[in-house]
Amino acid sequence: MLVRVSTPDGSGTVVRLIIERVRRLLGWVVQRLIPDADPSAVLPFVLRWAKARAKALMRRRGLVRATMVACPQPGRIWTIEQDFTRPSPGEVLVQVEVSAVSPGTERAFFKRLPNARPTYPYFPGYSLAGQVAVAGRGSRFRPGDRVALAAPHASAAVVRESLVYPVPPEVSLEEAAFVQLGIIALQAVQKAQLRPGAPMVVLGQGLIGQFLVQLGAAHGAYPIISISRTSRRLAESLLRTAQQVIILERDGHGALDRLNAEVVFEATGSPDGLPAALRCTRMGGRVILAGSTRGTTQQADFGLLADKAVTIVGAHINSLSHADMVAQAQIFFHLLRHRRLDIASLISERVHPWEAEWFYRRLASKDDTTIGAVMCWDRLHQQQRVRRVSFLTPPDLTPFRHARMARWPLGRRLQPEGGSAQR
Amino acid sequence: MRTVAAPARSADRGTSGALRLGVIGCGERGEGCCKAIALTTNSRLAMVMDANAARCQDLAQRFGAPWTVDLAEVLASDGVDAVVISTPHHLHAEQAVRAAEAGKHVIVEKPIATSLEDAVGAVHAARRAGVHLSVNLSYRYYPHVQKAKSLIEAGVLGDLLGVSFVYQRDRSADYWAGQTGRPTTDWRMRRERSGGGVLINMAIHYLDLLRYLPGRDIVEVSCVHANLENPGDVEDNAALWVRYENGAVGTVSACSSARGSDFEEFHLWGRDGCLSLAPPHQFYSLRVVDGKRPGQWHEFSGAPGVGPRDVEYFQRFAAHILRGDPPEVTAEDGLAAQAIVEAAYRSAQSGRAMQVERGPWRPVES
Repeated sequence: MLVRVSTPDGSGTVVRLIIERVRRLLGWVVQRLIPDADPSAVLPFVLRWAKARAKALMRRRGLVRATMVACPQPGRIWTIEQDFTRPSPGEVLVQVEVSAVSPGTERAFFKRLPNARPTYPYFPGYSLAGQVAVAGRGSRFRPGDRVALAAPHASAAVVRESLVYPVPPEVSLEEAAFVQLGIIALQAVQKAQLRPGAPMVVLGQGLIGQFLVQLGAAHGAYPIISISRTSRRLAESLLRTAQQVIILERDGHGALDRLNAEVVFEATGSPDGLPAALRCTRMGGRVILAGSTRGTTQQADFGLLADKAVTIVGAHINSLSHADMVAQAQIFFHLLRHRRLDIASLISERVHPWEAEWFYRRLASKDDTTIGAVMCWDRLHQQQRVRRVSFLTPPDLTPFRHARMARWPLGRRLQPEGGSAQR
Repeated sequence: MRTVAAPARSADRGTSGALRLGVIGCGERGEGCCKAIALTTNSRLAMVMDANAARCQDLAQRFGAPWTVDLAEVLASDGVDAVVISTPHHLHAEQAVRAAEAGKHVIVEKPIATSLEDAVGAVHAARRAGVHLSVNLSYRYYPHVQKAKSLIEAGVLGDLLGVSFVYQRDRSADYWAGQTGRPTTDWRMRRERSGGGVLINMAIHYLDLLRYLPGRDIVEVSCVHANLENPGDVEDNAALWVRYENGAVGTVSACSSARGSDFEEFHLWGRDGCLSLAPPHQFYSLRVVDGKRPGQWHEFSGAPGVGPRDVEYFQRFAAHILRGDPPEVTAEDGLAAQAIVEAAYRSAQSGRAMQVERGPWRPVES
């Protein structure tokens, strides 16, 4: 039972009081060590360091250190070293070669757009490929096996082996790194129940949109119409594959009413794309929300939705079972192997992980034209990619010593309006 | 031509094939140029000239070169390939024109002239004569400036956003009155002879660096200046803001009457990083530059293999001329720096921002 006691904010328990005291103590230590750093920003990294050690102790495993991309606060990106527990039975340590950037999602989180509200520090990225470095006892994988998996941008990852997809030899690791994005697009296509000869519209020309156009063609959809707000990100492969490309800035929204598509994929990542999607859809058609259409909108015309008897289908991969994910990954690799998907032509940036901040800042700029980008972890020195460390190795807090962070109360309790320190 | 016996530390180092330079003006800068030329491996001092025979003879004796008090004698000599004009500013343009017309390559101490119009005239005379004219903007050859330039070219800054430059010196009244150097002359504090004060006399080197380092031209200048302590009629304090062709902005503060000060600070920043030319010289970039990790400040030292600035300037000038190439520091560089100074003076006079004249430069028809 927790004893209620008087705490500075007047509503605490003993546990909360202790946490508060420990927090202050750690904050004091951090400020002594790194005078310029905001203790509340440093603390999560110190806690991750401690958590990795606690986990390693409990599992009686050693520790490895890898380089990760971290977003300590909106608009800032660091490459920072983080520790992982060495793999237990049923786990593998993957040395990452390439990680794929999902520009729309990562831009939203980097800029903390209304449709993306992560807690910071945030570790971007969710799709990568590499080689198994260490396989836990009894693993079906061997060191050197080429694999793809879902994990944040990092030079190494420790994951359960059931979450790792073997990559066929005919598929490059650079292409394989897009596996999660491929699964997202495949899930949308499956939910759409595409049939050969059915007219199909794709709204948004980010990576998912480009994949959908190619997958639609592989399924025999016809005609395939691609809609984009601007002409900034028109890839060569898109112009080859789609029968019609509508640029809203150039052609106007009126062009949408004439499309009457059976299936419309909303791949802009923003709910503001929904009204346009409804206008493109024919009577009884389907709008598929591909990927993560985050946020709310007041623009949707439900009269139009009702009149056209449109079905809106959410197609996020959260609803996929593990077996389905594996199956989708296999289909994705199959399509790559048989050149039914062209990813290489969509990759416009190969980023050195150290230059992550430069890249994300550019990604966040309004005139950015990136469609596909990858982080090339093989550009790091082997020591920076993955190495064993001891329990006594201190956390990597180097970026805090080199960058002055904005001191603002992320995650802190804000003063009540009109409140003062004396109250 | 009068000759003196070559002293033991003669400049005659068996430099056959070396560029033969005649130094016109044997004041402080003339002496500096002679020292620098003596340290180069591809040029030699062929003659010195000054209206003051004693000063001239002194230099000639020290550097083992013939001397004369007659400019025409230098220009007529077959033993001189190029001349170095290190006379007071108001003499530069006319002497440069005469040298060019005599078929000599020309090095002019900065500025080319006391006015942009005269400077353009001198440059055109060189073009007409088919000789090269270079301006001794040798601050470009400070080792740390060379290193900064290579870092900027490697992408440390990205697209330039801004610059800030502070120049402070503690020049005594004696400096302006000419009591501190070899000659005793007050031309520096007379506007009609020097063209101006701290801006045209000292800060012009850095105004050149404002262009040279980012590799971008300045298109607009606004300036206020004042003569607060100078015994003559030239400014000793100036404040400028500048606008670059890409929209970047910068500030310049130049002062020759800052007590106890002898420093300059240069900061440049761009979309991808910052660079600071204030000891310790350092940069911060989001890009991998020079193999250094992004997101951290890195100190840098001077570029290796770069000699003292004046020696480097003459060495490179001679190397280019001997190859038949135009010099690294071109006449256009000198004109561009002079155009910034002139725009600053016009701005201070009119109280408005002024456009900086840019090439192609054409002489004013007389």
